[in-house]
This record gives sequence, C-alpha cells and structure tokens, in this order.
Amino acid sequence: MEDFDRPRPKNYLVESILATIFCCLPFGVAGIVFASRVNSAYDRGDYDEAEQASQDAWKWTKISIIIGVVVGVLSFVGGIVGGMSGM
Amino acid sequence: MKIINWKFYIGALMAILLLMLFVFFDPSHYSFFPKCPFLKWTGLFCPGCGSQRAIHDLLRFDIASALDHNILVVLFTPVILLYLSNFGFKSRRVHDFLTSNTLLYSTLVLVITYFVLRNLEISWLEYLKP
Repeated sequence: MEDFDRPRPKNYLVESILATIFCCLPFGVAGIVFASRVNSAYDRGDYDEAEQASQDAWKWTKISIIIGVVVGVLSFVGGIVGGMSGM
Repeated sequence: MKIINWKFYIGALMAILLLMLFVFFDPSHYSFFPKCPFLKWTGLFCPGCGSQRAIHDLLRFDIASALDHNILVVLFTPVILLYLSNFGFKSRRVHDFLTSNTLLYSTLVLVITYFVLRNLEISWLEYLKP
C-alpha cells in the first residue's frame, strides 16, 4: 500500500550548499549526499528511510554551520586582539 | 507563528548588518575577517576559498573580481536569492527545483571539480585560484 499523501521530507539541499561553500566543506558535502538519499528513498517509496536521511542531512548541515560560525567568531576575536596588540 | 516571525526578523537584521560589514570593508585589507583554518593547515584552496572577497565584490557589483575570487559564490547567488524569495512566494515549481536531483548532482560535480582544478599548478587555470 502506497501512501501518496505523504509529502517528501525536506532535503535541505540549499542549506547544505551554503554550508559547503561558506562553512565547512566536508560536512557540507555530507549534507548534500544525504539530500540525495532523501530524494532517492522517497522516489522508491521508502518514506521512513527518506525521513531518516532528511534528519541526517540537517544534522551534517548544522554541524558544518556551527563549525563555520565558531571559526568565524574565533578569528574575529583573534583578529581584533591581534590588531590591538599590534598597535 | 509569532515566534517564527520574531526569529525571522532577528535573522534578517543580523544578515543585513553582516552584509553591510562586507560592503564597507574589503576582506583583503582588514584582519578581523575570519581566516580559513583549512587553508592554513593543508595549504589547499577549498571550494569556498575567496568567498568573503567575492561577496564584497558582488555587493559592489564588481562581477569580474567576484568571479576571480570565487566562481561558486557568483554561480549560486541566484539559487540563494530564489531560496530566500520562496519563503514569501512559496512556489511549488521553485521548491521542486531547489530540492531536485538536477541541482543536487550538478552541485556535487561542480564543487568537487572546482576543488581539484583550482589547486592544480597549471598556468591557464590560474584564474580559478582565489
């Protein structure tokens, strides 16, 4: 029995692309790979696996974004401190 | 619904402030912009290398310099704008494109190819370096 009413879970593709370019490449790419699994599992009719892949896609994208933000803030602070000590 | 709006406005405000920082300060000349640890540790240019300079160039409508610093940022700007505008328009077709296998696999191939090509020591690929 197929459930045609079940919508495809979010695959977070654009979020993963952003994370890949601006944050942390390896984890961003992992996000894109899981995004592809959301699509293929959903098209197979395997909704539970699609849901699982959706959560994984978001997890890796989130990790990439967090690393990007932490590195950004750290080097912002480092840049300010370095600039002041250089004065 | 109210909570979502509240978060949305805070996010939008922060994004605008951040973009203004990138309009007025050139990342090539100021030290407070984040430096990439990946480049520092590996000596390789990742596909995101030069993206801060490219954003600065794009915001000043200097497309040529933006392409020189990072092609992917220029290429994906329309995608990002589509994505953002679709929060308002909620178009089914746009949504389908943004989650499509077409976009997905072309992105993967593009990112990985760009990563390899910009690190090769070949004179006519010099342009791909940030």
